[in-house]
Amino acid sequence: MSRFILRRLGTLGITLVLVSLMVFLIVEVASPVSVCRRNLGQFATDEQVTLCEQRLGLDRPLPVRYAEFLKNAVTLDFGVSTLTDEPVLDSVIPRLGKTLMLAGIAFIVIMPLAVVLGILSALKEGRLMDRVIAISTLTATSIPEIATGIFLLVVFVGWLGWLPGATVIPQGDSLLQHPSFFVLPVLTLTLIEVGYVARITRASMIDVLDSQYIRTAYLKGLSYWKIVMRHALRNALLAPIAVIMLHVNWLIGGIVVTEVIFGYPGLGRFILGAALNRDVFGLEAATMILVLVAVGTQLIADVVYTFLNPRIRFG
Amino acid sequence: MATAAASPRTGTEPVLSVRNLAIDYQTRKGDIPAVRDVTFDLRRGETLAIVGESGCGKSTVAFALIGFLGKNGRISGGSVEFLGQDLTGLEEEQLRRIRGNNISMVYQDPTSALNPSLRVGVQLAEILTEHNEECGEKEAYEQCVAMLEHVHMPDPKKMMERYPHQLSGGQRQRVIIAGGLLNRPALLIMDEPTTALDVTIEATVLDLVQEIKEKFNTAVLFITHDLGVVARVADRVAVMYAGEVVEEAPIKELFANPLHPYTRGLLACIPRAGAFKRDTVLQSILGVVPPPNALPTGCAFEPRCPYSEERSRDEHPEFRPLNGSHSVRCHFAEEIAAGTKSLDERKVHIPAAAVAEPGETILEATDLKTYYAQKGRGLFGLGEKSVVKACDDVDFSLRAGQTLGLVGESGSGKSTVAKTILGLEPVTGGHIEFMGLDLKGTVDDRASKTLKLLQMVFQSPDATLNPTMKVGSAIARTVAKLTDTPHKSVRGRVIELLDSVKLGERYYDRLPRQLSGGEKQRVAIARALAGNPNLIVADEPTSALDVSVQAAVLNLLLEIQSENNTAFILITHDLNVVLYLADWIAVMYLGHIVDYGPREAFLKPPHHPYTEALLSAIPLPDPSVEPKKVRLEGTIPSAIDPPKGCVFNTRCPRYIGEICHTDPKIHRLENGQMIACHHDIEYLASIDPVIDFDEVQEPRLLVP
Amino acid sequence: MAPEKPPRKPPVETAVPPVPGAPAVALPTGVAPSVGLQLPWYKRLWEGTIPLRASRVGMVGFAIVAFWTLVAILGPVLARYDPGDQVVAPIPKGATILDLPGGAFPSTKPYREDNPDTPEDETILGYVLTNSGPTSTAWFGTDDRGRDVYSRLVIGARQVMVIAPLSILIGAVIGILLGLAAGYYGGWIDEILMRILDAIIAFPIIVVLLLIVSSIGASRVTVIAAIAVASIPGVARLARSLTLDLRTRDYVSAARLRGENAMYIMVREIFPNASGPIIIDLTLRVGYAVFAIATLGFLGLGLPPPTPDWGSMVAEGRNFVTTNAWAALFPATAIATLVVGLNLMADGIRQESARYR
Repeated sequence: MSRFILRRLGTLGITLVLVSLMVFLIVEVASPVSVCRRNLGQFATDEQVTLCEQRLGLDRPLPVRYAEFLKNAVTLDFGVSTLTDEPVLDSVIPRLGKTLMLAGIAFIVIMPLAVVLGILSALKEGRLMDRVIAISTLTATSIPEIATGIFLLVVFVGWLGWLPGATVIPQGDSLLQHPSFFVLPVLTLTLIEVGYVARITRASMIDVLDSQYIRTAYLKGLSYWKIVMRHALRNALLAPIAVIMLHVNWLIGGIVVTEVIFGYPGLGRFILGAALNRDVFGLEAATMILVLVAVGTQLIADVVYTFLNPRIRFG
Repeated sequence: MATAAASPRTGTEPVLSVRNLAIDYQTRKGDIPAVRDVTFDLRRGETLAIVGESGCGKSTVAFALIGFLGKNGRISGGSVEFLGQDLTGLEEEQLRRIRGNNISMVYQDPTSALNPSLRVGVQLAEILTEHNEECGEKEAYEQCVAMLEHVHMPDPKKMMERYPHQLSGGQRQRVIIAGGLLNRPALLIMDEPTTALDVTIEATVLDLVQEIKEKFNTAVLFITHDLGVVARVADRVAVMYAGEVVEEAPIKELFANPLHPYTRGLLACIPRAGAFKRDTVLQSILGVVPPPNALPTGCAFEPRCPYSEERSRDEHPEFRPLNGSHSVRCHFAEEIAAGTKSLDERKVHIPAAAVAEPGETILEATDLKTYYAQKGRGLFGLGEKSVVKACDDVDFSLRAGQTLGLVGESGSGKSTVAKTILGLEPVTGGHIEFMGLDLKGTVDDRASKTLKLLQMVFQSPDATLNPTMKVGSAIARTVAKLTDTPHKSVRGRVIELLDSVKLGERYYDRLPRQLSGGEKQRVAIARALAGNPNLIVADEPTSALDVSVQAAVLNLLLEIQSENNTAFILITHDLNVVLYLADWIAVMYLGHIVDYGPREAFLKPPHHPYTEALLSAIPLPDPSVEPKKVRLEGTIPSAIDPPKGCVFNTRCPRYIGEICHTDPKIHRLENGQMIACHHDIEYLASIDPVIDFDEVQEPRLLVP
Repeated sequence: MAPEKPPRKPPVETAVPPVPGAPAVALPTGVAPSVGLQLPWYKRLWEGTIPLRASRVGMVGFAIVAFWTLVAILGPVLARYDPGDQVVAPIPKGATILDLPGGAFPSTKPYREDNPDTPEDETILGYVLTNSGPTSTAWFGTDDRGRDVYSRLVIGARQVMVIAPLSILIGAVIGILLGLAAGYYGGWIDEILMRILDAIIAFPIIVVLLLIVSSIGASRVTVIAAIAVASIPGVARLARSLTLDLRTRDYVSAARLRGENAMYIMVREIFPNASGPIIIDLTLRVGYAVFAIATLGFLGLGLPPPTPDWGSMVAEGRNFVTTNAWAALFPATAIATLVVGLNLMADGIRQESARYR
């Protein structure tokens, strides 16, 4: 088991190295516009740009620059963000915190709801409740966040005026003191994700209910609820974990979009701003962190799945 | 808990009384009668076998008894009386209390019948606690351990803690049987419980069924399609056809004196123990089982019956007793019994006897080795690789017009040998000489003129044809690739081939999904014949087919051999079929040939101990023959780490000692037999024969 | 909890013909009077669409998709204005700037009423109609720059309906080839491919796009390439797992035994039998592609202006949601219906195919 985790960590490390290489190549090498020109903006003079290039050592050979890039990454020294005029780390970390808060709350709301819906749907397969849940979840999950977000904005902010449209926190207050800012972003994410997770859970549960061992349980004369709770559930919940693992990257995209729609001050909104405004260092740092979160989450889900699946755990 | 009967072994009151049971399935197009009229009684301590081909409704009967028919099925007529209660009228909740308690069911495929996420102990204990409120956890545990001992599980306490995937197939089936017996049910239903098991393990499970029947005085309803298994376990047999019971009799009586034409047909088309192709033929009844929604009026068997008359079409025969214990559903039962009923020979397929004479040696394999390297367990698949020795040091030869039977259980390597010779797997070591050519490498390296001489017929009819390719195109493509036939003549050649397998031109444009299993297998044979091969490898060609279809396909293969002097390598686990078809036999175990010789050598000792066990294990369709009982313990070891020396040393009933861990002696006898064993040949020759083939009854042919 | 279908039978083949309704006739054993000879190609094609036609959900989806396809084709015909044009409303006689709605500014183009009798040189002063709700001049209203939302929507349909299938097609071709090769050859080809795909999947594609856009800039090509590359791993994985399963089939061995080469086997033996699940997956992916295109447009990473892109229309309209929700609502609804339609179609086909089997 521990060998398994070690192997996974190894893959994680390799992926991170590959990521850093890719980031480095795309951001610093591939662009026709040099880092410095982007940093200083289009109004900078040529002299300023040349000075900056010398200072950053952009004329050195690529492998050397890459090595320094890696070193900086590991020591968490990313430079100064042109977007926020702060050291990049100071800009990124608090925003990461806010994003994780949003993701966390959304997770707590989505998971139980989706699993319950999926299982209910599967138990009543083919009947009215199942069809209603199936169609509504399919529809909800198909509508992109931009559309859902706009619809919610129009209804709750435009027409009803119950909730704020943009996340504007008074100076000095923490986000948690104003829970109304969470409602719409979480609701947007929920509408999209609940459908997805519920459908997977439903499919998995239906598969399990069709299996031979459930037939055995039935032939033993076990009661309906015992069959569902004790025999079916633990097998049915395995598959969704595996699939959700693959889904994390999709989720990150959704969080970025949701933050932008509602002006939520998280890492997603930051990274978009960095990209559009050519804040090179901010972009690099935020990218690395987001990918780290993505891969890390996948690793955790993988370990959890292995732990829960006796076939792998006990070889 | 169901009360154990204090009455004598077979009580007088039947435990189960089924009268005129009828079951329908409701579909969009109307009701389909899956079961039309089933009547039987079952007493304590008795085993009744329901036998029939697929689609006859036997499993449906079993499921109906416990109310497991699904949304669309319902009992549309008749009664089921169990211990005085009519099960047909019961509510779901009442039925639930009977399931697992008074009536238990065991069915096939133990692999997936247990929940992979729960420990074995948990899955057993809940059977007790669900039906017995007073039974506590500790008491349940102890009873489970005790029951595991009854079913001869090694180390029962440890087994309770294991997960199903850590058990072998045979062990899982025992766990399920144990679970079925925990509440001492009055009735145990077993639906094809051994079909998915290896033959030596099947034998031990069948022994177990006998034993528990005697120990617990349970009534056993045993459902199967295998007449050999029936002969071994059953006290009485009911034969089903098209949803009805057509004949019922005590076991010996049925085999000695079958009265219904269908039963007679069935028994005529399976090879009796020790029968040989040159002496007897397999006669098969022509025609197909009618689908349940298009049943003939009158007698259901009439279209295929060689005894049929006008009366059979008009009148539906009643199921009536003939002499006490033997009941038949046939208008002419008495006349058939007396031997006075005339037979229409055109409705019976009587093949010609096999006449192929062995010619020159065309294939010789020496020291053949096929190893598979597994991925290493380190990162990126590096690290120490384990090797699966699928086939090791295999020697044999084959002459034109001869059939070599390769026998073995799962993991024996017989399929690997076939694939290696054909070139589907690369040779790791050793030498294959075919028609004077040195066969190296794989299929990709061979020229078409070699390929066409060496072809294969596969096991599963469903997977043998490309579903998106028309039958004619598939054969035509083979003809085009393997022969020099000019383009215009290809279609003609295909039709020739289709005729030779008794299909004909109208099959040219059909897609595989429009064909039945037997037809697909014939197409596969036609395809293999495209290049006039000298050698055809048939890998379990009939295992997935019904008995009557099997006979037809085997007869076809014999005919091909007689006409073209083709050599065959027949791979199978069915020693019965091998003894009928093969001229030479090779017995394989864990990649090695342990016993090899002409067919006659296998009818009496000397045998390799494994051959002895195999002969003892095969269920013979002849209840008068009692093979000597030789059983193997344990399971086949993994091929990744085979035992050192004689690979059979972990299970051999004649294990000597340390010496068995060294490479076995090879005995070569005058008749060409080869046995790999440390025992002296005199010792092996002196053991009692397993089956006394002289005792075997003459088969009851339809047309003598 | 009885099962929904009749219990399974043991895996023993039967002599019963698979076509019910066939009469029982005496024939050589094992030969069933199979019905249903080969049908002409157009009938088979029609049969092939049964899974779609049989599903109500699928047909609803298909109707929506068909609708938008039609709109895309007829785009310029349906539009009332050029997508970049500003909608100008006439300044009523006698009104001054102060009487006009807030945000209005005088137009540089004269407003010309659609009256052929109006003399050429008579000009009526107009103002640009910005951020208005639906009116007779602008059916869906105008955005904050005065452009007609309806026309932009209709022309914008073309962008989406072309780019989405195109990018998925590119991704599919590459993905299927890679998946077939990896599944069939196995060995190191498979290992390398899997590592590469794992690496691609490990990335949130949105992050990659952000990187690319900030370095190189957004364009139609980047959008198509991004979506194609993002869909390759999924298609390749599916193709690979189908190939791995199918290559063990006996008919593939039979093909090898007659000397067929790898290319033939992959194309003729394996692929036709894998196409079913792949097609369903691709239909679903076109839905994802529309989703992605719209989202990218919203974030400003997609097609550069002035191309009317539904996503960017939503982004522009978002800022004025409280005053004029219509500018954002209409494109959002268009996006939503199209993606839902595609997903319903894919889901319907999948349900019915599963039942068919």
